[in-house]
This record gives sequence, structure tokens and C-alpha cells, in this order.
Amino acid sequence: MPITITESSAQHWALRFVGVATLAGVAVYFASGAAPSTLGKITEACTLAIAAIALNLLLGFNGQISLGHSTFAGLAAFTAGYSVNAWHWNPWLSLLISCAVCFAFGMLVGLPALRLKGSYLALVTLAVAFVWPTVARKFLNQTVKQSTLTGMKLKPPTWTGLANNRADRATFLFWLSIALLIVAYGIVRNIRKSRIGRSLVAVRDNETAAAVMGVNLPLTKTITFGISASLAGLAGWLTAAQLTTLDENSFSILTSIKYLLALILGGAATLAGPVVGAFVYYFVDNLLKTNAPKWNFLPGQLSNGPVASFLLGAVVVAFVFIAPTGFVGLIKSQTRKIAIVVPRPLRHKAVAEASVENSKSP
Amino acid sequence: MTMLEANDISVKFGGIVALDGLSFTIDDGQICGLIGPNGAGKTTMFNVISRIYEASSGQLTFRGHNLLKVPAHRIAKLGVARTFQNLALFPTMTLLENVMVGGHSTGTIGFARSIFRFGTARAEQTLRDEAGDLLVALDLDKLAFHPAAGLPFGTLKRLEIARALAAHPTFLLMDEPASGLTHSEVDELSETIKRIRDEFKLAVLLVEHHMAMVMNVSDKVIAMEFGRKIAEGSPSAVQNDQRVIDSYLGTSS
Repeated sequence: MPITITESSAQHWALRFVGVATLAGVAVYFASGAAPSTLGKITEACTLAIAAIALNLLLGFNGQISLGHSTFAGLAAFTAGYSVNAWHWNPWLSLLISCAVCFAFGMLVGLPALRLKGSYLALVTLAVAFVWPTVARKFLNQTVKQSTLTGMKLKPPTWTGLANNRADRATFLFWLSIALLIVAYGIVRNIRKSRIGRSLVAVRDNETAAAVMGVNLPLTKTITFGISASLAGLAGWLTAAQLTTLDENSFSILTSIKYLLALILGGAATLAGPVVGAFVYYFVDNLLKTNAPKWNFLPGQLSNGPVASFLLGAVVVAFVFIAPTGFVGLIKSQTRKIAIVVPRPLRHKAVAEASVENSKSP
Repeated sequence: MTMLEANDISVKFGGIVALDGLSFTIDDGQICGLIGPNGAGKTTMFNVISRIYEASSGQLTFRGHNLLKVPAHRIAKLGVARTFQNLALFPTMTLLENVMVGGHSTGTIGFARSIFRFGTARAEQTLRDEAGDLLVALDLDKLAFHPAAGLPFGTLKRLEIARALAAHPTFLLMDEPASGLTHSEVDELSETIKRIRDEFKLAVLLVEHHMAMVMNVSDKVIAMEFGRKIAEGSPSAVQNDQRVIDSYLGTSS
């Protein structure tokens, strides 16, 4: 018999506290001891997690597919790089500008979504993702040399006590990525647990019924697209902060696919799914890339890197069969045997029942 | 007092005339049955009122509002709610959440406030409490935290009613609520409709093929054929109308 814990009860808060404290402990452990390269990897995984969270809001909760999220990330990274290097803006200000630009562009891309669904919407966003590298290249050649877009010149603030060397920069970016991950997670969590979040899921489940219940479909869908795009922009900005040189191919369609895979692996339409999925995807991918066997019998180019990609693909396919609801679904089905969190009971049921009984009798 | 006034409503789909100059009124607190053979335009009329279809011509006034100028997502706020013939629930959501979405139009929390959780807690709690009461009222509270997918048809039909009531409507449109229900469930439904009319002070427009039920619960019945009204009046008057018998009811010998 599993233990039942009521939602928002003292036990539940204690459980949450233990969970958060454990995660915080792990983060502090890594920050204090790990090599800069390891921290860099975690930072990249966090960045991927933010992008997957962005996609989860749109695809998981609102049912709108986007293969163009790499473009939003790219747009944010370039906006950041451009405003910092060409206009000498404060890097922190560039964060706000990047997200704002992505929000506006996301709403614009969201407009066709009002008329299109499923694979048709996927095609439109796919087109956006395909056009992006070409546009970015053109833009770079005509205006400024690529070198002006190098890095973010983002220094650790003095209050952190971190110097501007490689190791301290890695620590700083590590904490920054965790902070931004928490922000992105918090935003999506707050939305999901509100009136708006319910309306997003309602739109996904049944548009007509949602409209009859009073959900403004065009507004809800475009704003969701905008918020999702600006969260992807957050990931893009963070990428720009990690890289020393940006090039247009950093944000190709493959990046979008990566976001999608991370989301599906973790579990779409769950809050933790994209975060878990991003870490699993990133580190499995990393493991395979460094340890993939050399299959010399394969012709030419297929002999090293692609074996890793091939194995990753096999892992993904196998995983989708083992856990169709994602990693989080798998974990939930296992932990359910130990403890279940049940929702708070409905209010004073007895009183409500009595009033119904009274109304029944003449 | 007249609550809804439909005047000369026509709907054309290409060359097909689904509604041809339909006029009727519904008063406060009235249960109005809409009957007629399949294809008579009953559901079309429903979809005109709930703004899913555009009327080609005519006027539709609800409590002084020109309903044909109101966008679909605003009618709930005006007090018009509906249930669907073939269920239009949110299958992945729990019954409680389904009913809470039904109360969407009663809330004011937008994107910005939900992101920052600004004053959302109390609104959420109120909505949750009200939705819970509705689940109790329709005997669904034991399933409150169960997803809607996979539950029996009769249960989901009751959920449709609970969800519609969450919008605090003054006018409830019910599209074939008895279809697919068992005999005992239909009897129960008649009682439920009368009960919610009294308890929630509603007018009801009921599209239904189940004649015994329509005649039992309705204050007034409108019979339609080929997009036109062929009879209107008390249940017994409509039941004995020769055109209604010829075109729809038939003679039971």
C-alpha cells in the first residue's frame, strides 16, 4: 500500500523542501569541485532545458507544434551579440531586448497558427527554421563582420567575488544558467497552475469547447507563441553568453529537433519533463560522442561521429517504446508504488450535499 | 420577460439552406424544447446562438445584446452556456479541471498576472470551491480527480452540464442531452434539468429526440422542419399539431 500525501499539506511541503534541497546540494557540490569543462556541460544542458521548457509550453500544454524554436534562440543570440558588440549595450540589457524581440517575432510566427494545425503548422515553422541561417548569413555579410558578434563580454559582477578568468567564468555561467532555468521553469509552472494554464490545455484538447467556455482563441494562441518564443530566446541569449563566436549554423533546424527530442524524452505536458529530458538527452548524447565505437567497416565519413548519432537515434527509439509518456512518466509510475500525492479534498462536502438534498425536496 | 429573441434567422451553407427565416422567443426561466426530424436545423440554430456558425441574415437579441455581433468567446460572459451533442470535453483534464474551465469566463486573471502569481490564489480557491459544489450537485464528486477520458457516457454527459453551469449562465443550451443514455438515466436527466432550472434560475433551450422527456420537462415546444418553424406552443398543443404529426411524430396506432 503506497503512502498517500495530500497536496499542499505539511508532509508535501516537507517532501518538496527535501527535493529542492537535494538539487541545490548537487548544484553546490558541482560548483565547488567540478572542472570548468564539466560545469560548461551542465550549463549547456541547462540551456537545452530552458529551450525544451519553452517548447513544452507551446507544444505540450497548448498543442501547437513549432520546429522554429531554434530560430527564436538564434534571433536572441544575434540580437544580444549585435547590441553588445555593435552598439555597446550592457549585456544584461541585451537579455531583455532579446526576449522582447523574440516575443514579438514569436507572435508574428504564431499568426499562421491561428489557421493551421498539426503537420501544416509544423511545415510553416520548419520553413522559418530553414530560412534563418540564410537570412542570418546575409545580415552578417552586409552589415558587420562576424567578428563583432563574438561573445557577450559578460563578466561576473563584482559582488559574486568571481574573477574574469576561465574557471570563474564557468562557475558564473553555471549559476547563471541555473538561475535562468529556475526563472523559465517558474514562469511555465505558474502559467500551468492558473486560469490561463487551464485554458491553454483546454484549447489543446478541444478548441470549440474552449471558445464556448470563454477562451479567446486567437489571443491565447498568439500570446502563448510569444511567451514560448521569448523563453527560447532566453536559451539563445544564454548560448551567446557561453560561445566566443556565433555563427548562423549554431541555430539550424537540427537544434529545433534537439529541443523536441529533449521534450519528448522527458515527457511533454509535464512540468519536470523538459528539464529531465534535456539532461538525459544531453548527457547520453555526450557519452555516446566520447565513447562511441569506431566502426571502421562503415564507409568513409560514417566511421566516427555518425555512429554516435546512430546510437543516439536507437536509444531514442527504444526509449519511446519503453516509456511512451517520457522519463517523468516512467519515474511517476514507479514512485506511485511508494507514495502518491493526492489533491486537496473539495470544500465542506457535507454542507454542499445538504443544500442539494434540501433543493430536491419540495 | 423575453430573454432571447430570434428574428428571421437564416443560415446558408453554399446552396444549402439550413435555416430559413426562423423566429422565436424564449422567456426567463422557461424550458423550451426544440424538436424536429434530423436535418431540420436544430443544431444549426444552436450553433448560431453559441456563435460557432454565422447567420446569413436575421437578428438575434439576448437581454438587449445583439448576439450576432458578439465574438464566440464573449457569449459565456453574457450568460449563455451550452452542452454538446457528442461531448466536447477536455479528455486529459480531471473532472474538476473541466468544470473549472467552464468557469473561465467568470475569472479575470490574464497572462501577466498568472506568470507573476499576482492575486491568483484566492480566485483559484473560489473557482475550485464552486466547481467542487457543482460536481457534488451532479453527483460527480467521487470522480473529481479522475481524468475525463474513458469514463461512461452518462457520466460525461452530466459533466457537460456541470461544466456549462460553472459559467453562471442564465441561459443554457442543451444539445440532445438524452442521446445515448439508458432509460433510468433519462428519467434522472429530466429531474436534473428541472432542478438546475430552479436552483440556478436558468432558461433552457433543449434540442431532443426523446419525445417523452421533451414533453415532460418543456414549458414550450418549437417544432422545426427543413429549417422552418412548423409549430410552437405548449407541449400538448404541439404534440397534437397535424403538421408535426405528419412530418415528425407520426401516428402511433
